[in-house]
Amino acid sequence: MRALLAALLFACAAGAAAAEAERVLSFERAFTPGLWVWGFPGDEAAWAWSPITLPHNWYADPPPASRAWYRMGFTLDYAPIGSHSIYLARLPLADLTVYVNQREIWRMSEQYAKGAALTAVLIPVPNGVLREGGNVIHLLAEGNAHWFHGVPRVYLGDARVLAEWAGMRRLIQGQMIYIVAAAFGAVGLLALWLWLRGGRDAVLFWYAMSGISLFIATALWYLTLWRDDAAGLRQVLVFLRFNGYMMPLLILHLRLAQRRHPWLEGVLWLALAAAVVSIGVRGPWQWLAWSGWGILFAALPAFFIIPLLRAPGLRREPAVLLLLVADVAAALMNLHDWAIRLGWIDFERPYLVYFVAPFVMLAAAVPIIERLMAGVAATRRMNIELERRVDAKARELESGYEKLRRAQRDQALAEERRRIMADMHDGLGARLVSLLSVAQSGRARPEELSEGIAAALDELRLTIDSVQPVEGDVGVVLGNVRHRMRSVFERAGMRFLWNVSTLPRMDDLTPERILAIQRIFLEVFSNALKHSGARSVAVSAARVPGAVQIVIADDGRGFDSLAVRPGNGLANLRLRATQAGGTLIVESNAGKGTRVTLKLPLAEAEPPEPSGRSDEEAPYPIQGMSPEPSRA
Amino acid sequence: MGAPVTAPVTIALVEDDDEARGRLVASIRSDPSLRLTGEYRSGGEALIGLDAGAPDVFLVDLGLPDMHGLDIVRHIAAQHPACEILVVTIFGDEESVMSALEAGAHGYVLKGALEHDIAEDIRHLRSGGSPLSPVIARQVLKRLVPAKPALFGRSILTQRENEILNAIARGFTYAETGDLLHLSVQTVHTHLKNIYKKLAVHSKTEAVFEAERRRLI
Repeated sequence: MRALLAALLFACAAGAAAAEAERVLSFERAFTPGLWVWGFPGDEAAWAWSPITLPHNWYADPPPASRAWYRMGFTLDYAPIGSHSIYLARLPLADLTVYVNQREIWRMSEQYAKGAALTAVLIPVPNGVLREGGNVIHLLAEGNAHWFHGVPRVYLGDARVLAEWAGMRRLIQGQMIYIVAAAFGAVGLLALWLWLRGGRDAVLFWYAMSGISLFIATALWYLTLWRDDAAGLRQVLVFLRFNGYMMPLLILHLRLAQRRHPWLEGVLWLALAAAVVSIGVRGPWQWLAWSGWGILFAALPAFFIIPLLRAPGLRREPAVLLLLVADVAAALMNLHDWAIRLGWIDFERPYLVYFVAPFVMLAAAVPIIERLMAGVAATRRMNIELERRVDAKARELESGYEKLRRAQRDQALAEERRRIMADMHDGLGARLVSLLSVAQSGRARPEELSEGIAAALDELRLTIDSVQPVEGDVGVVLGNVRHRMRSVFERAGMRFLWNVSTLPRMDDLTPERILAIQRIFLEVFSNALKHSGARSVAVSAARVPGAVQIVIADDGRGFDSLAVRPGNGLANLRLRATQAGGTLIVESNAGKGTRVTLKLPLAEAEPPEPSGRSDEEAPYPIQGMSPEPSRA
Repeated sequence: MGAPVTAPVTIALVEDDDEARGRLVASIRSDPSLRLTGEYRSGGEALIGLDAGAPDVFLVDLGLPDMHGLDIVRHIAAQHPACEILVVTIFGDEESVMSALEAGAHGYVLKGALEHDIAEDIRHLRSGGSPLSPVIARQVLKRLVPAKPALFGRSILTQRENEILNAIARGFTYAETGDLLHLSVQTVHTHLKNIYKKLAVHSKTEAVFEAERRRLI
């Protein structure tokens, strides 16, 4: 913004420097009759023309009867061949008529009054009006004495040069207003979007309101330019355009300082409302109200920066210092403009009020952006910290879990060792001891010995099989018994009707239970082989509600289950079934074979499986068969 | 599997226990369709013997005095891919069988079983594959089927191979598996051979992967 101002001042200076070079005449002085003259004051001698300095501020130095004639004489030392213009840097609100060499060349039109109010005026001088030697310009200014204006400096010269000056002036005091308003409207919308998306940061909200209100007031003001009946509204909108955006900015100051002053904010809004109403009222005191409110709102930021400066963490923040500079500069810029209006400063100078809003809003954007960046950085830091903590926690849990697993494994191993030892002691050990005594007796037949040793080997293999990995699959246990015994069955001519479907995984299938299940099968199979004379055995295993059900049915002689004598092995089977964690039912009728049903309950957590799945249609891979994720 | 055998199958074996070796030799000699071409007492002897050429079938005892039987299996699998390797084990437990299969063996025979004819086992194996126990089938499935279905890339086993292993793991015989899946027994055997190959290859890739992971390669 400063660069822009510097460029502006430089442009003015450059324009002034170019004046001599391009033969532009600058009228710093004029002559006025000092009293009201009716009609064109052609006869110079008839009036007492006294000198007056331009620009002539009517507020500081009112003309007679609210009307005044100005005369400027000059000599051209060349033949005025090219086109010439008269340039006024600021159009007076008074009606204006321009004469050159007693000929009227321009009268302020309606269009100028509306569209180009307060901006530069370029008046072309018709060809042939100017002449080499003496010329004279007369201005007739009419209207109420106004604190805003009077008659500005008058420039006459090359039309192209003056058109450039006028263009520059209109850009700065005209188009720039709309560009700035549109830009801050867009910035305001962006801030609003960020506010809606992000954490509803009040600072962002007030910033958005500030930009949007600046845009709306400017847009409405522009629309009222083209309506004759909207003069009062136009006044209000001009006031809002210069001061309305300041309210949200003031509240933003408080929010940046993490302060809330509800009553103060309320008073501020009330003051703005009162200002708007009083500006809308037209009357002799209007200008006083205008200037009073304007100065108040312009000066307020310089006070609202105080809480920011007093906030401990913010005092030395470059962004806050920048905002302080902007606020103070804004107050000075407003003061500058009021000095122009009050006639303290040459009113040809451009107003700075247009640049207060962009200046302060740009400065206010810096702490907001810093805040956003700090928020992002804090979030990132928090994420990193959170990740670190989660990692630490995960490691902690992992190590705890690892310890637990190790302890469980150790315990399971110890139990397994104990079980195998007991098993070896009762089974294999006892068998070997008895074999040894038979061998030592010297009466042992070789067949008897080898049969005993083979039985001991079978016992050993059974024990080993019970610790083979079966992944919780009872089907594997059944299949393995069949596989182990296949040569025995083949020799005996026994046929199997094998119907083991895919079974749900049983995670609690311990070696102890496996051994018990193996023993049940061996027992049932050997009964079928040795006692019942069966030719075929049907084995089926399937899932039933809540359990795995295994049924072994032979086509042997059977027995009357009502007349069962004790000690025939049924009790032994039931004991094994208990060890296997299941229930056993033996059904038999003489002549109709025997049917043994073992039911192994499934753990509660077992998910329901679609029923009615037979082997023929079993899709693969099958539930319960998928390898377990590595656990141990 | 009564496939008629025209030329006798040549067999060599390495076994350090004299008595066990004697029984194996006797069993093989009793079968006219088999011809013993070498019997070795140690791994070193076996490796020297193999330099002269490999038989159709090589029986390897895993517990040798001078080297691990798996090293011999690996050697034969690498140098004589046509030779069928059978390991001899007492228990046929998962650990020893799986490591043998992964080293490149084609099957295993149990030793010490009562009235068990090793020659019959060999004929059985020659006609198509090894008797895969349900436990082993289950372990092969576990090795070769990923825990989660892969989003990209194919799974190692075909669906048919998966089905076959699945049935065997549930105790179905090869014949029953063939009936179940409407395949001939011979096709089941072919599938199983492919599965063994995949298992061996897979274990090698795994080893490479593991080595890479440890930055050894």
